[in-house]
Amino acid sequence: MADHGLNDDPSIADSEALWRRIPPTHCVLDRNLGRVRPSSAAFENHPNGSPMSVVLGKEVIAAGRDAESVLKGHEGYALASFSAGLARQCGQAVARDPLDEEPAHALVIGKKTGSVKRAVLG
Amino acid sequence: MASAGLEKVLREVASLSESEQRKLREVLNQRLAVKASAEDVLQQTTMDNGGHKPPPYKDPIALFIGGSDDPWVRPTVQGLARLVTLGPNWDSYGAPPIDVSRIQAAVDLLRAIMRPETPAPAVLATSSGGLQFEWHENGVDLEIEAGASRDFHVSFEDHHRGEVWEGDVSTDTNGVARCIAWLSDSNESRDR
Repeated sequence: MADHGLNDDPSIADSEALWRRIPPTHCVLDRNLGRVRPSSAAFENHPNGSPMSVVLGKEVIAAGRDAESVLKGHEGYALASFSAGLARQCGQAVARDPLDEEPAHALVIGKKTGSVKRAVLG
Repeated sequence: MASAGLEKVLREVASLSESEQRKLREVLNQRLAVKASAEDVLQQTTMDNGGHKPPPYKDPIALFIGGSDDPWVRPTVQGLARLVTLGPNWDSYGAPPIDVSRIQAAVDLLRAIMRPETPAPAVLATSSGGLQFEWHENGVDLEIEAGASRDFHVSFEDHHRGEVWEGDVSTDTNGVARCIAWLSDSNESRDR
């Protein structure tokens, strides 16, 4: 399940929200739903093979920040939210990976097949 | 300044021999007098690149898609033109510019499977430097991702018929052509 030597972190509850920035180029009009939504293409591992980046919403809030702070410097981007439990149901692992510029940074680890990417969309 | 993606396209075209370039220009002249036209793409790419004007053969994307004025062509070409202008890290997660060879392969696939009445797809870049076509209408969700080596990953769901299909496509395009047919039939029925 996990790769890159990282394992699932059980201290991240299934109910915790994982936030991912969505570039404007990854927003599509879904006429079946009657709204714009993220494309499945937005939920992919890094091009170099390392796992997909997310931010732990709970930690952002705990630090006194809000969701918009995650989008700072990324004009036109949206923020998608899905639960850690949903990621795990799709065979992914979730692990903390704090960065200097983003202490709430985390990784969603595992192969992103088409069905996994669409499942994240709910 | 041209984006890295556009520069790559132009380099590839420029690397052709004189006779090959002449042949391409003939293709432009003969087949791309279409309404999805070269001028639209040129205008878009010029605007997106700070006014930089590409060389005289000028419309590298249209070179790949020419020969049809079906309604889906124009918006598709415009979508492809936007992809070529994406520079490195366009998604803020380190994505590379779009690999032009994948654009050509994807357009070849479209030319093989699309029908005149098929709705235009949404054209998206993928973080691996590829591209993806998407349709979400008429009760159908269809995604075609262009991977490396002219392989495509297709996912299809027809909510009316309850049909779901996901798989890889290379030389045999019958499966994805059938998906397009269902999508197109739904579109035609709705328009009647």
